[in-house]
Amino acid sequence: MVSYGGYCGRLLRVDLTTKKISTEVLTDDFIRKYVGCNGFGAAILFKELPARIDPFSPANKVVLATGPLTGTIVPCTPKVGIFTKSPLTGGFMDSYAGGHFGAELKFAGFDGVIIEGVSENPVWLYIHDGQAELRDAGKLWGLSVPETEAAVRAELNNNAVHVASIGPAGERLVRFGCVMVDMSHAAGRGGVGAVLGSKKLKAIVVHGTKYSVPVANVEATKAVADRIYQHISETPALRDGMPKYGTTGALKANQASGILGTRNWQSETFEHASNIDGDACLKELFEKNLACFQCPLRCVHFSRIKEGKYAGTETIGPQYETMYSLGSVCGIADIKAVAKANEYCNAMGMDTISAGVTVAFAMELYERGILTAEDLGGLQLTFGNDDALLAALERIVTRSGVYRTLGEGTKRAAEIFGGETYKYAVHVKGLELAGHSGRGYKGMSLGYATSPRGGSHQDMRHLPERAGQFDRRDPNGKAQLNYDITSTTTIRDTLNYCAMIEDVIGRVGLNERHAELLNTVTGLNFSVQDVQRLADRIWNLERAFNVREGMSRKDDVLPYRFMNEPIPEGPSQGMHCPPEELERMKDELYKLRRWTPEGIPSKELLLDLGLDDVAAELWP
Amino acid sequence: MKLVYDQAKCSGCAVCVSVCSFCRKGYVRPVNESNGRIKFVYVNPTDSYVVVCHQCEDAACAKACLQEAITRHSATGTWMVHVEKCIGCGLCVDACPYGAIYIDAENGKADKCDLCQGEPACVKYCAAQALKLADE
Repeated sequence: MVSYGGYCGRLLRVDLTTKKISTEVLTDDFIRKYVGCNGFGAAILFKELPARIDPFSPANKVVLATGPLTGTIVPCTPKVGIFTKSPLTGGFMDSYAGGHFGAELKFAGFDGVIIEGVSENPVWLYIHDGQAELRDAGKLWGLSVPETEAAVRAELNNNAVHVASIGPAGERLVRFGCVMVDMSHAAGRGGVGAVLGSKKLKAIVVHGTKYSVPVANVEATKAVADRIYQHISETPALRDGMPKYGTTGALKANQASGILGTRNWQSETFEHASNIDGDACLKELFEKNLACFQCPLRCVHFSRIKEGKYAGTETIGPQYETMYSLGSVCGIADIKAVAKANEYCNAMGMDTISAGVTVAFAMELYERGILTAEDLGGLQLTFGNDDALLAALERIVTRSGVYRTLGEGTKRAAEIFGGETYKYAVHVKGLELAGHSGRGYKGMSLGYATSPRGGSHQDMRHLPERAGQFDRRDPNGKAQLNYDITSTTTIRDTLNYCAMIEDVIGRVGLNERHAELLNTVTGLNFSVQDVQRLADRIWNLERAFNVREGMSRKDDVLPYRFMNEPIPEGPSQGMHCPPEELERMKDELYKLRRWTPEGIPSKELLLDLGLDDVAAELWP
Repeated sequence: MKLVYDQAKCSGCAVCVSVCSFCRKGYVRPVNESNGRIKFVYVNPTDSYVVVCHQCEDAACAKACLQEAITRHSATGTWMVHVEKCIGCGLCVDACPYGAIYIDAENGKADKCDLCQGEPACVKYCAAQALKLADE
C-alpha cells in the first residue's frame, strides 16, 4: 500500500489484444514524482509509447487517471483525465470529463486504467469493486451514447453504474471523436474517443461500493473543503451565476469585448449574439440543474425544447464552448438549433468544438466558392444555415464524400484541399480553436501557440485578461503570465479540481493554497517550490513528448488568420498577433522555461527536474 | 425535527452523502454503497434522488425492535439507536419502508440518521437547498 492519502494505490492494465487484465501497484516514488492525473498520464505515455507511432495503431495506449482529491470531501473534484497520443495533433493529449465517473473509479478501487493493444471484436470494460472484465460489445457497436448507456445498464441490471463511452463518430475514427461520460460530460478534445474506437473499446463502465479514499489529515482536509465551500457561498458569480447560467455567460462577455469567434473567425462580433447567449438559454432551453459528483456549483443544465422546429430535443447543455462552436462561429442565430446540434454531437460522441469549427471552415470554403454545393453533396453550406449545419454534422459521422475529409479535422482537410484553404483552417497543431480569441488577448495568442495540446483554452486561461487584471492588448509580460497561469492549470489537472474554482485556489502563479490542498489530502508535505517543480516536471514531460514526435518552435504558431488578419470591427478592432510579435513572445517564454531557442527543454532543465530518462532520449 | 427533501431542486451531486460519512467517519463512503444514513439513488445521468429518514411519528423501525433500542429523543424528536441495547438482528431494517436504517458493517449494530444532534451536515452543505430541516 502507498504511504500517502488520496489514492487507492492501484492501476488497472487492460491488454485488448491478449485480453489480459492485471493490477499494478502505485509506488511511493511514482506518487512523489508525478502526484496524479496528468502527471500519471504523461509519465506512463512517455515511457511506454514508441516515438512516431500512428495514433490509430495498436501501439498507442489510452490512460485514464484520477487525481488525489477525487473521491474525497474536497468539492469540485469529480474529473477523470484521459490521455493518449492524439490523432488530431500527433502529440500528447489530455482531455477531462466531469460527472461521476472519476470518483466512482476510485470507489471501485482504482486510481487509473491503462488500455493497450487492440481488440479484434468490439468489447466493453466493466470495472467493479477491485475486479474488471471485458464483455462483448457486438450489440453495442453502432449505438449512440445514450443507447449505449441504456444497454449496459440493462445488461448489468444496475442503474447506478457510471459509463464512459464512445459513439459512432469514435467508432468510425472521426478524428475528433470524443469520450462521453455520464452521457453529457465530454472528454472532448483531441480525439481520445477515436483512439478508443480504433481499439474497438465501446465503453468503460464502473461501479464501486467498497473502497473509500483515505486522506492524510482528516481535520485539515475538512477545513480546506470548508474554505472552498465558504468562498463559493460568498462569491455571487459562483454561488448564483454558476447554477443560473453555467458557463453560458461568457458569450455575452466576449461579445461585449468584440472577441466572440464569428463566421469562422472572419469577425469577432456577432450581430445575433443576443439570440444565442445565456439569457436565451434561460428563456428557451434550461429546465433543471444537474451537477457533477461533489459539486455545489450545479453548472450543468438539462434542456428540453417544447415547441417549434426543434420540439422534442432533449440535451444536457449547451455550455459556452458549444454556443460558440455550433453557434456564432457557424453564424447560427437560433439557440434551439445550437441545442439540437449539441444533442446530436453528444449522442454521436463528437467534440462540439472541433466539429463546429470544422463545419465553419467548410462554410467559409463554400462561401468563397472553393467547395461547391456539388462537392458538398447538395448542401448549401452558408453561414447561419442551421439545416445545413445539422446535415453536415450527420455526414461527418457517416463519413460520406467530402465529409470524410472534414472528419479528419481542419488541418488535414486543408492539406487535402490544398491551395489557400490553410488560411481558413482555425487550429493550432491540428486542434481546432476553443472559443476564446487568439487575437483579442495577447496572453491567449502566446498560450494557444505554445500549448502542448494545441488550440485548447485549458492550458493558458483567458480570464485574468478578460477581467482586466492584465492588459490584453499588450504583449509585454505575457510570457511570465503564461508561465504563471500554465503552472496553475497544470497543477489543477494533477490534483484534478475543476476550472470553475480556479479563482478560489489561485489562477496566476502557484501559491500556498495549491500546496495546502495537495498536502492535507496526500501528506506529501510539498512546499510551494516543490509544487512549482512538479508543475514544471509535468509540463516539460508533455513538451518532451511532443518534441520526440518532431515538434519544435516551428509548430508553436497560430492560425494564419490570427497572425495576418486584424479583427475587422468592434471594440477589439485591429487586434491580431503578427508573426514577429509572436516570435518575440516565444523567445521570452522559451528563456523563462529554460528551453533552447528551438523550443526544446534543455538537458540541464530536464536533469534538474529529475527527468533523466527524458533527457537521455532528447539529448542522446 | 425532520429532514424534508425536494427532488425538484436536487441536482444529483451527492454532496449530502459524502459529508454525512466524512463528518462522522473521516472518509467519503462510496455513494453506491447500499448502507448509509442517507442514500443516493442514481437512475441515469438526468435523474437521481436521495432517501432520508422521515423520523416517522409512528416509527416502524422502533416498533419492530424487540430490544427497545430505538427511542425518540425528546428535544429534537429524532429516533435514535442505542448501540448498547442493539443486537444487530436487522428487524428494524426489514421494517423500515424507506430503507433508511441499516446495519453498520463496522460494529454490526443498527445505524440511522440522528440529524447530527440537531444540525445536519447534509442540510448545511446542500447548495441547492433540496434538503431542509423542518420543525414538525
